[in-house]
Amino acid sequence: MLRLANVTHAYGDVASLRGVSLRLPPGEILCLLGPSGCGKTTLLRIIAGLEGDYSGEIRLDGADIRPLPAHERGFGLMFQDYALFPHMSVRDNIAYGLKRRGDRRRDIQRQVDDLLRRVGLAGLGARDVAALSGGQKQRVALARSLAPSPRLLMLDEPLGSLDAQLRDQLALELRRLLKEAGIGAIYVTHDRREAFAIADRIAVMDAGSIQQCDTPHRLYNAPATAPVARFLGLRNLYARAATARAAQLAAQAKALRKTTQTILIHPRGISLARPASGRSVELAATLVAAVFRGEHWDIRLRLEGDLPLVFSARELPAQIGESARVFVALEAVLALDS
Amino acid sequence: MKSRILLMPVLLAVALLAQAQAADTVVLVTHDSFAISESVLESFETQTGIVVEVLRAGDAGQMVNQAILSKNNPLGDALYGVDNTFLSRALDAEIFAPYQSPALATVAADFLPADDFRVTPVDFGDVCLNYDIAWFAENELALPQTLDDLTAEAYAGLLAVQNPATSSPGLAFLLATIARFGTEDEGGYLDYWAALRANDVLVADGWTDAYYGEFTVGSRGVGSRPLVVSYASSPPAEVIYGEDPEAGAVTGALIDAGMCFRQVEYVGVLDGAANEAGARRLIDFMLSAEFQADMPLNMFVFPVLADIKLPDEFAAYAQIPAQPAFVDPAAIEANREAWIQAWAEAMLR
Amino acid sequence: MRSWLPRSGCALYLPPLLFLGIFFFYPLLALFDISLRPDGELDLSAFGRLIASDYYIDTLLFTSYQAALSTAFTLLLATPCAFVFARYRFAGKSLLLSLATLPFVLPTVVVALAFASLTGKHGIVNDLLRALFSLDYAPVQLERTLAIIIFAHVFYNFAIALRIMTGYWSSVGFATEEAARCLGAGAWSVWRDIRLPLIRPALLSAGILVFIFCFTSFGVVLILGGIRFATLEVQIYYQAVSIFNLPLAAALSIVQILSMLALMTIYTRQQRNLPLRLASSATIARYPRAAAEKAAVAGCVVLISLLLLSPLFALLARALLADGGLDLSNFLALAEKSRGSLLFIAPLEAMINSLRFALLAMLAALFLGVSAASMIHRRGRLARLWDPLFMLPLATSAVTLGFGFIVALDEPPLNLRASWLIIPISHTLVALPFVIRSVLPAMRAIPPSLGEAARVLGAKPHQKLLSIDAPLLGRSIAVGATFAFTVSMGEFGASLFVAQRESVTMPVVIYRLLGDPGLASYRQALAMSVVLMLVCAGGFLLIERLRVAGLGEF
Repeated sequence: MLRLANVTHAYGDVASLRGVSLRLPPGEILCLLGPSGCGKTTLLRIIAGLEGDYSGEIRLDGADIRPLPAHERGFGLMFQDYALFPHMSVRDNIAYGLKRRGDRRRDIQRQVDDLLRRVGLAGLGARDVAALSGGQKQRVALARSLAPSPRLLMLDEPLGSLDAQLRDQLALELRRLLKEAGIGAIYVTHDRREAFAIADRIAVMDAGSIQQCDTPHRLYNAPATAPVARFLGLRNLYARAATARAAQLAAQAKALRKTTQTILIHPRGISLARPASGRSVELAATLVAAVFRGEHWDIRLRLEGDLPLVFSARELPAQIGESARVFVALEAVLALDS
Repeated sequence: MKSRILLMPVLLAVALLAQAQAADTVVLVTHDSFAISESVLESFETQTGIVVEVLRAGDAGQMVNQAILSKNNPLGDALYGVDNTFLSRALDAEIFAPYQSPALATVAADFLPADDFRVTPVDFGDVCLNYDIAWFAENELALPQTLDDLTAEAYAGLLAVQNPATSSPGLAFLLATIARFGTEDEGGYLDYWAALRANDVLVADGWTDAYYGEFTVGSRGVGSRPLVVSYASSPPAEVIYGEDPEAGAVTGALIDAGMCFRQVEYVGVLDGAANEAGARRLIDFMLSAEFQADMPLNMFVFPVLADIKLPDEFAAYAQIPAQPAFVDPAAIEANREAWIQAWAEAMLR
Repeated sequence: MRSWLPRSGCALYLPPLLFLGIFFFYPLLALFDISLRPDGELDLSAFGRLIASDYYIDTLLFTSYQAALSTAFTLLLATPCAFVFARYRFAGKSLLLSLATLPFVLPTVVVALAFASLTGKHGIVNDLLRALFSLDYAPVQLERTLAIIIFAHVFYNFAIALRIMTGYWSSVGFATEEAARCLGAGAWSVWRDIRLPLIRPALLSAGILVFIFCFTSFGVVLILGGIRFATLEVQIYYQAVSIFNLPLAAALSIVQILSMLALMTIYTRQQRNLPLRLASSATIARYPRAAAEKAAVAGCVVLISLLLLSPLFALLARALLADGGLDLSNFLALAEKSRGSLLFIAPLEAMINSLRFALLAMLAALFLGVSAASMIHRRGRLARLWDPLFMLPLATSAVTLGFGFIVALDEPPLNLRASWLIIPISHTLVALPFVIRSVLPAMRAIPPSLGEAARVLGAKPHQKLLSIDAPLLGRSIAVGATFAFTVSMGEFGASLFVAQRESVTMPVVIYRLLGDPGLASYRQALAMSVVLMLVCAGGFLLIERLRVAGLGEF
């Protein structure tokens, strides 16, 4: 179990981490999700032992690991651009951590072969790393960081430089490999699709602090703050004051906590037909724009008081410029902290 | 753009042609140490209407070599500064045209080289040992009187000399020892040097190192050698440039028979000179009282004309050895490399 | 239109080729010709003498040995410093780099003076030790030892190695070593497994270049080491000037030039293959945080101060201080006019000469260097062969070239022997490699698509050159210009060779003042050296301002 308490760090005068606290149970995959510059890479480097000059506590199974230098922590770190050793072959890259651990030559041989097979690179051990494709490099980097059986693996945007299709496929593979190895992992990304695909839990970071930490499902359905909602790709966020312009929405908002300033209409509760169960409200709107996406339409409506509402649906409710009806389930109208 | 680039060589050539000499100019090729008062040269120019252009071509060796390399198309009209250690090289290469200056009549016969007036002597300087007057007085040690004395126990660790391969006074002193001891295998100069080495002689690379680094006077007490190879004109220089010119001599030169080697500097008309007449008049002028009297304080050399009044410091502190060592210039040129090489084998290995 | 393109390109490439041909190869070959064919018959017996004699073989071996030793020490000390310079930001870093580069362009006489001021018998170190332990002798005796030659070579070449490796390291970055640390590599393993293998190309480049400079070093060996440590270059001088054995001097020169050409070919090829990434070192370098990191920075600063700055400061102190107080009289004396002696050159006059020649040499080297670099960069395999040839003047002794000028350039329209033009020309020859080495990497880093885009948009070749290349190369051209300027300011050998009144430069005056009798001239020589040092330091601060991070080989 890795525990971080109140970790704070600054680059010069600029605070990069403000009191981050975190728990990582053994074997769990935790995603740090956030926009670039939010401090997630810094947090990773602090855990790895590559950054000094921070305050707060880091404990592994109760033991303070702050004094340990990076090479004595026994953590793995997979870098954003892989940082493969360009002067070594694929095999030597993967074997490096094992050699440093002092394994015997024959054991190293066996383990590397096994890893090459597991990441789907069997037979490519003698290759020069410069000659590999992006996806192959990513696998070598993963195999290299897995090889010394780290107590914890950290991955910094490991799929960042790959194209979208490869990314989806590799994300799944990555999760399978991590689960197989039974290693706890901290996975840094700015892509929510990737985070959803890989993580057991996601910690959304913004401006140096953790906004919310929960399972992907709960996080998506109940974001705690507006930045979290925005970062998860949720739209239809309204200032509480603005909802007054749409009478029906205002009535619903009134029922919600008064301390919150932002109202979210979650897409799960928006539909063109009145839902069969649960309480819902019908809103009058005008269809402003619609984009055909194949499986669905992306639809943009204008509600009363000029409020926009965006969602997707199987069919078009009306012609562009004409008025349309839309139903919102009351359980999907949420109040968020800003 | 293109035409401008092609113009470049043309412009270069024009610039070079513009360098061509004015009609009444005489070009004097000389070495880096050449110096003379401006007023003296101006006087020559007003007397003759000839402008002197001075071209300095490195040290004496470089200068002679350059003159030889360019003998088919000489660098200038007259060459001044070749001394008896390089004379033979210059004469063998036939770079000079004979000229017997009428002014030679007043020069002592000793200075005239045994040839057909291809070069004219201008000045001389003697390389000899300088000593620290105060040191010898304090230690109550007698001054050495011959080269042989220097190998005596009493003078162990007192002498600094220069490497003849890199230093002109060093070569001159080596020649003095060759003149004294000869080059025979038994008892020749190499045996003498071996004895000096056994007596802890210190070999510096150049005059500056030896004089300012090792000599007790020149180094202001840091060096430990009260005897150094230098010039007979160094004592007046030490007075003129010393910290207290009023205090009188602090160094002296040892000028006993055979202890000094005389370097005579010559001037000659370069064969094929563009302005041969001008070169001859310049040579005549260099033997005039005006020029001769100006040399001592500018170059620390002695004029070849005997009746020139020396500056006060020279008259007071400089001595001229009566019997300097002599080595035939032809023998020097023929054996220079071998002598130096053998010396280096004996002293530096 | 189309047929006009290649021809205009060639016209641009012609001047550097002509320049190198007329002012380098022609004089060199002319000298070799009269040396080895004195009577019209080719006489190669001098080569036979070289091979037959243990002495010359020993000279060659010693030359290589001292160069290898100097290179090894330079790399040993410069590598950790290069790491610190690439990795960390700290106050005064670029000032330190500028000062560290200063020795490289200082003339040997000044360096010898600096070393004498520091470790000589009169030097500060000995004065201090004498005062501390009340000794009556000089305890540190480094004069004329191999140690002082090596020390001086490290002093000269440290900054070149530092600059090459720092630039390369910044472009390689530090991610891989962090990866290695996470995989369990300690400090020693990181150096052995990651850092050294990764910067191997830069180590090799720096090593070859430093080796070339040390192999051909003349003044350092002659003045500080003495004739006992005769290198090939010293031997060439000795044979050509003292003995006037031209066939042997020519044979030695040919041996030296060919071996250096081989190294330069390896070097330029190596440079071509270096991957060029325009990583800005500013984003990679960070402030040191951990105590060990701070110690590394401090260690590097101390090392550079001891190794490179202490001789310079010793020189400064000797020039400024007299009898325990500040004394500016030496500097004031520099402004004095004539001493009434015809050929005494007022130091102020020499400064003006130096500046004039440096400007001329800089302009010529820039024009020729940029066109040579673009030829090497663009014109295929054959043009690349010129790359090492342009570096050859660095490996050719001044005396060989000087004699070559006298033999070859003696007829109108090229009667240059007695002209002051010979000085800026010879300075340009030496400055040219520095301009090419600064500009070429920047040219290689410009994507060809930029030029193609300009051409498609209708730019003629020279318009493309002015509108695309020149602005992008601007800063590296400025760096080359500053190097050319300072190299010319410090150049000594050729300046001494032909010295008319109008051509006496600052290093020549320093040399002459040192030869003049009296302590006053010695102090003036010190003052003049300080002025020269300050001018060069100013030049290097300018380079730092203009430098494109990671670009330019120096």
